[in-house]
Amino acid sequence: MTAPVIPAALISSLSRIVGDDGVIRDPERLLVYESDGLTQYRHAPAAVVLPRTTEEVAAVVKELAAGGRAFVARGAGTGLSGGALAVAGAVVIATTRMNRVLEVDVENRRARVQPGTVNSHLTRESLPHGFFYAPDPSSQSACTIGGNVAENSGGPHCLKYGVTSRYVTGLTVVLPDGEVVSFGGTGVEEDPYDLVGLFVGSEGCFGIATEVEVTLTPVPEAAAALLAIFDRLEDAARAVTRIIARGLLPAALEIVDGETIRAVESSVFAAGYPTDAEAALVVEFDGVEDSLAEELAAAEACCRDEGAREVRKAASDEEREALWRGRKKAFGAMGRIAPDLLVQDATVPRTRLPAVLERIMEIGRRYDLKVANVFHAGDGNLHPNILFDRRNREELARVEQASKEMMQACVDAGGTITGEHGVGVDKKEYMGLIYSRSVLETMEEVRRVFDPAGLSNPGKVLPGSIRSAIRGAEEDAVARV
Amino acid sequence: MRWLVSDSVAGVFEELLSADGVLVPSADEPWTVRGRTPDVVALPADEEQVAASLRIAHERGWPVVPAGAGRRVEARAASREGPLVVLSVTRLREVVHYEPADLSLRAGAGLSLGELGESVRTEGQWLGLDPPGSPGRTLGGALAGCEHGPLHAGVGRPRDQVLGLVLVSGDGRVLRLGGDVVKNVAGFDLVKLVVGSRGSLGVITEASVRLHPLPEVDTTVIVPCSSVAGGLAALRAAAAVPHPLAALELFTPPPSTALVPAAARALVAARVMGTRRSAMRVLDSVRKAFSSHGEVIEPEGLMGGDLFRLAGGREENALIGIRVGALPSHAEAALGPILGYLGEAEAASESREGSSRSWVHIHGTTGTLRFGMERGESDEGEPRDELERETLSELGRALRREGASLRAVRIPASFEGVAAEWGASSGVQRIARQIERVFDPAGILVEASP
Repeated sequence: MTAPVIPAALISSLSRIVGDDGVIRDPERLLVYESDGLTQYRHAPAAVVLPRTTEEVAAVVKELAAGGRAFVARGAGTGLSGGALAVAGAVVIATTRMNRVLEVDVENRRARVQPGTVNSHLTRESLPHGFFYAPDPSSQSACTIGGNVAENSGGPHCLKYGVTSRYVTGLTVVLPDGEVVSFGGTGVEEDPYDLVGLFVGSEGCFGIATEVEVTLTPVPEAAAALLAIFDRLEDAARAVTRIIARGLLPAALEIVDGETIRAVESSVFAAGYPTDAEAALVVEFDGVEDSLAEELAAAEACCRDEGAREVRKAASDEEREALWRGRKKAFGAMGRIAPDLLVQDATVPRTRLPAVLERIMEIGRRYDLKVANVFHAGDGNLHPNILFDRRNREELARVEQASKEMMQACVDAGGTITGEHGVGVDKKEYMGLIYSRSVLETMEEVRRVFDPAGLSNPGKVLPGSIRSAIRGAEEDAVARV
Repeated sequence: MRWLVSDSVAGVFEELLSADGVLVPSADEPWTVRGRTPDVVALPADEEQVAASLRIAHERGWPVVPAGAGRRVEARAASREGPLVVLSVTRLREVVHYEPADLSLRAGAGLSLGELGESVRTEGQWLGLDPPGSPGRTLGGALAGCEHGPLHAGVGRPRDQVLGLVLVSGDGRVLRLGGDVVKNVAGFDLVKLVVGSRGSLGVITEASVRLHPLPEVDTTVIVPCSSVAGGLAALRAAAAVPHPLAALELFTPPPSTALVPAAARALVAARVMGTRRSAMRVLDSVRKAFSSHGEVIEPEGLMGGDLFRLAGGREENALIGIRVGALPSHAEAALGPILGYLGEAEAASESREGSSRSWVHIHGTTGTLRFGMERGESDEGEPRDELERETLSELGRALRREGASLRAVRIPASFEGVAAEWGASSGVQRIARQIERVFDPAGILVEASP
């Protein structure tokens, strides 16, 4: 697909700001930026710009705004909702070169980073001081803090530690007209509203964060984990409810279902999970060493009460890593089962997990689709993954219909349409399932406060009136899938 | 004429809310707003009535002060023209949904924190919201306010406890924001915008909150110190303990309790929660951290939050209450000028009839300081003289030069001009004003401290 037309004069202006090597126009190189981790949607940007500093981002944004040109901030492109898709002739502003950890301030338990900093790099730099950065999306070795801010990313350990918004304390933001503002910050009391909280999770629609201040967490003294094997997926889900209701607070509670186990075990990532099982539940505790054995024993009892046929406990860090392997390599292994994977994301109240899982599997059967579940059970955050072959158009139609029904099932159970992947282009038409028209209009009005011209990541998050901006992309996406 | 206006305002609300939803207060009732008696206190019985009340006020341009239980309504409304309406959510106190196994509860904004706490305690759970003040504070008031308490250290800010809420905007739109699940990134996070907005965006009528399992152990260990510098050293030592503490605070002077020797100038308190085994280990570390700074006391029968509530009481009853944000590493530098100011202010107030007592509280993990003056017996809350205003203004300038920032939590009307000097940057102010217009196009809502 050819990139949208962009005036040569604009390219020259952008090159003057970021240097010739900071502007990408070569169609081959633009291919990388056609989609994020949700490859069903593809759209080439008009160009990609690679600034190094807040000042360069501001200058680039001012230049684009002056020409009425839309733009999209992009980190590592690991998002799963099409949020970094460049529609409406947008220019991608990639934070690739803004990848420095500016400060690890141990005394004040915080760090300041540029937005292109890879999530796990921040933890790597904090560990020698006895700290880590708590939010740990599955893609943490690649995804960036800036992307995490845009999506309010979660991860397995968010059950205990909370998601990104709990950790972001301050932001330097380039607004969509190029003005640089600063929101919050440790020790800042004067902001009239929690604009940091509002900005986190705004999916690039309010501007570009160019510096992020985060809280660091002391590394827990020790961690311990168990793996419980179940013959029924619902039993594993009930064990999760029992563990939480018992008052235990694990760091993570993750379920891998039978379909996924078999995919993992037949791949190079084999983790030794029994292939005749229908669910494996990973339970991890961390904290003061003295209490871990007791907590693990209590969790084991909950699992056995709900029918776990086997419980394996990790005695060492190596064994704990091994227990986690099947969970962590699940997505990689699914490539063996089918060429394409639709990763869904929704949250339901924990107590509704057994019923909702049953309904999801029923929907899968009814549409004759393979569904594999790998999810953050402790948060009620489901990831039903539909396996399919995009070349089979009839199957694709079933995937789309089944996916919609699964979303509805989660909403019917009192849940929401996305727990951690964001809305992007993928779910904006589902927003009406959970929010009234006046809430959606209010969201749009708040967006306009930041971006009256509608240039910052247009066509995302909100349905309806802005749909026309993305129409071309959606049609193209259908043609490509 | 005033009677006529009042009559007609009350009449309009009576038509909307029926007679039991309307109160025409007399001057000595607790609804007084900075000495001005409101024309009417609207007490809607449900969300629809809240919306209808706000629509009327929006159409007529009547200023509205959103309020919780109305124990003390502070608002910058006294000088507004036109009839003054206080809108209290105190009748919205229903528990809408509570499924203990989901560790979440949805309730009307008028439910008091005390009642809410009682109803979840029977299920072995608790809510991590501890704004300073009595258990009579309402859920809506605690969320609309910006005063997070000491538990901030252990469970996060009030906004981290909220899963969703219903806001009726200034023009009467009912906005159901967020949800009831612990992870939700659908759409822009307007919940975070509303929490801490002090009623300036609308009236919270309902909220869904995250609950926590009651810990096996919830206890407080304290160290009284003979000097403030000693207290700061103890605070620093405890903050460096590599385990999470539920709360860590320095109080100077110590709150009045028999536990603390009269000679103590400062008290540092650490609250520890967890399983028995983990709490014992953490307590050991805290004791060690405290031990070189004074005699460590583990008061028998003192429940985890008691001492903090005691200290919170003086924050609630303060005549002046100000939060100062500083990096933990700068808290000590900020403390000097504050103590200097309070010394001067106290001397000035003692020279008048009655007296005021000042205090400073410091969050050990965030570096936030709160300081204030207690209400003296003959102090009506008004006004202090020009000299004192100038002293506070100078303190603000000194702190801001040091990189600290200030926010007035409670302040006499005559000091509002001083507080206005501590505003955010112009960019942030502009965004804030535009956001207010989205939620309250006619500008009828008056910031309140419920």
